[in-house]
Amino acid sequence: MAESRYMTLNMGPQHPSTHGVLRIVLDLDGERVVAAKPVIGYLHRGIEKLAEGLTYHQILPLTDRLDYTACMNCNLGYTWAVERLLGIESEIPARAATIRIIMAELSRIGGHLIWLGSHAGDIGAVTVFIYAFREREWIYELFEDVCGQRMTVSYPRVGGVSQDLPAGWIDKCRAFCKEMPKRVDEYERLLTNNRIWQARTKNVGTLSEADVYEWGLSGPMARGSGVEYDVRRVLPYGGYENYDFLIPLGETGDTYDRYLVRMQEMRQSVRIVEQALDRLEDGPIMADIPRIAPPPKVDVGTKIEALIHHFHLVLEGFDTPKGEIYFPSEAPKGELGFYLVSDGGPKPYRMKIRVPSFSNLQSMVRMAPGRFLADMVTLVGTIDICLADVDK
Amino acid sequence: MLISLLIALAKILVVMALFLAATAWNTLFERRVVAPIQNRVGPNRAGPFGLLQPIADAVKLFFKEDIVTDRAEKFLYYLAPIISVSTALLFVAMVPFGPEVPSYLSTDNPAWNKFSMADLNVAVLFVFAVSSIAVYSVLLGGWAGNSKYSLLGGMRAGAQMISYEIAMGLSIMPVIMSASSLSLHEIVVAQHDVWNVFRLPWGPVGFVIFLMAMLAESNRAPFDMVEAEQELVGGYHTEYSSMKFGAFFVAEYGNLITISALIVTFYLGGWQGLPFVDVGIPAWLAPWLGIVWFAIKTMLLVASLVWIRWTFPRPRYDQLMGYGWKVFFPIALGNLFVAGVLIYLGQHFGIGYFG
Repeated sequence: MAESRYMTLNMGPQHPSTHGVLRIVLDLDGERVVAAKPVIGYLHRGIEKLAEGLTYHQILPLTDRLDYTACMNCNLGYTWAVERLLGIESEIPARAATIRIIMAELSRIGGHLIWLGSHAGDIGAVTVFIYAFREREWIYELFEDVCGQRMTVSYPRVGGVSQDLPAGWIDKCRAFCKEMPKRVDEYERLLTNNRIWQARTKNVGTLSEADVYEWGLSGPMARGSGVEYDVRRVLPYGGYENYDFLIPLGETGDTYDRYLVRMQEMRQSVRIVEQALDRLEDGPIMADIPRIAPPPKVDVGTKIEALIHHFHLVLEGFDTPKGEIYFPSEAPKGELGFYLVSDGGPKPYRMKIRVPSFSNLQSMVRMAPGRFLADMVTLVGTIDICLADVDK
Repeated sequence: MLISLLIALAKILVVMALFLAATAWNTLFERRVVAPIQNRVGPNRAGPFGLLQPIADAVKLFFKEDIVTDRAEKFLYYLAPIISVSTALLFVAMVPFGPEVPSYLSTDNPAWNKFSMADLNVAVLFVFAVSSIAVYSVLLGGWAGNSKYSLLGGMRAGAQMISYEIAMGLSIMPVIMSASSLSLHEIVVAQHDVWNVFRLPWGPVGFVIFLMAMLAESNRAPFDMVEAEQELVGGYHTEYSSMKFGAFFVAEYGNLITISALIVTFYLGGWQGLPFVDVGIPAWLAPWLGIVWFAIKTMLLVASLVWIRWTFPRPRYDQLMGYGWKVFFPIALGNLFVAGVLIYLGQHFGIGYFG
């Protein structure tokens, strides 16, 4: 075997900064990276294949396990997709739709907080990590109050949401919205104008607009390079067209710009949550479609018809019209798309998930060569990957 | 003669015991200082205020399995932690903790009459020599472990030390010129009227450069590229476990104290108190008060270094070398020139405050 003049270094799958089980095979010339090859698949669970044997309701908890830093967004992306397949989008009650927007945006903030904490921590600012997790904890407490779960929430249902907001929750959420922008200011005081932070992130991992199209990047990875692509705005869904929010864009497309974009997105998400809280009206939280929505729990225990109804729904699921749809939604990391093929039965014939982390991770090959080894952790951080999301 | 020797031994015992204890509790100090910065409580389970935590940590380290990697360069692998700890301890020998001992403790040998283990007339050179040897522990440790991450850490250490040693040396020159001595005691005595850090214009500049260089020299965050957990896993000590790792750990926290002590000695007036507080202190107490002043200053500096560590991100290793060669080196050189002219004018023509 020919001796290479480069040192091959396995970064991962067990390494403090690879955010799970990413493995990057690096060819190093001293500390310079000559080539970087991401190796994935250590966390593959075959979610797409598993889905083919489950009814549409049963698939929902699997979607929690996609991007576990923002489970709610994955749940919602899936339920919205199924609803479009069923053609019942217009029948979702207003209250349920508004609650979903609140949850999606809270979850987006949570996802960005994890990104911020780990990204800053990788670059050495460990304190920011703890600050970010303090607010994330707050969001998870809000989730826990609503549905009893913190991370893997499985909160939405096809046709609505599983539970109504508990008493006093709206005030708690408002308190969070009031405080959160101040906390973002706090993070920014530590980082934005910090010379070291700028030295580490400016002109590192620069991606041009052409790169974004070439590599199929989405989310903050695309917006950081000035590509105005946000599914919430381009292909509005779930009522986003009625909300007032800005889409922050970067100019140079480097790590620093992507950092600024994500920080602004947190502020914008808070704005959306506040608007949604104002619009929240009383009303049902589940669409009135008996073949999809389960009967009220009280009736299941007292009426035989409701019991049989429930039994059928759990055991057999609901049929979907024959056809196929692709439904994109904006997850914190980028475009999360569900491609569902139905043969008319209660289980999908095929479910393909377009996960944002997978496509975004490819840009590593473009960004890494010529950088230093120390920049690798910056790049992994700025791509904002979740390996559960990549490997599915 | 015998008495002198006994006094010397006693000093060594006392200083070493105190220093090692300070090192151990320094780990707790750092964790307790950083906890409020990070909205946490910090270790408070072992003993009151977590005071027994260092002991628990040490016991844990001792009982861990001591893994020696199969393909390690055995001799160097064992040597590196030894160098690391011994250099950390050697530093302490030079540090002046206080002024001349009070008359009821003094002997006929003036060399033993100082509050320090030894008052060497070339102490500054000794300190620099020891700090250069300390690099070997990182270099050899990184090489001997036979791991790529360790190797990269060792490599970084070499590059980092070269970039910083020069700026560090130059930033200390004005201090030596103004005191006209290489003895640390003389340097402190020369700061009786004004602490070096307040000697405009060269004092503050030299202080900042020396502080940064010392941080880089001791591999303390934000200049901890040599370990850089997030990049190099553990850097040079990736392959060390149990008490061999503990040795590096002790050295790091020991160095944190010694660099603070050295910065205090060179720039912050050493054991000199604030002028207005020293008035009316009886002669038998004054020397002991010097030790207190010295301890307070050192502790405050250690706390600030901890604060720095947990606030800043880590620069990249090429950026650090860039700062060293392109920023600190020229500034330190210019500073030396300015200080040289001023001190010459002061000492030969009585202009300024160096008469």
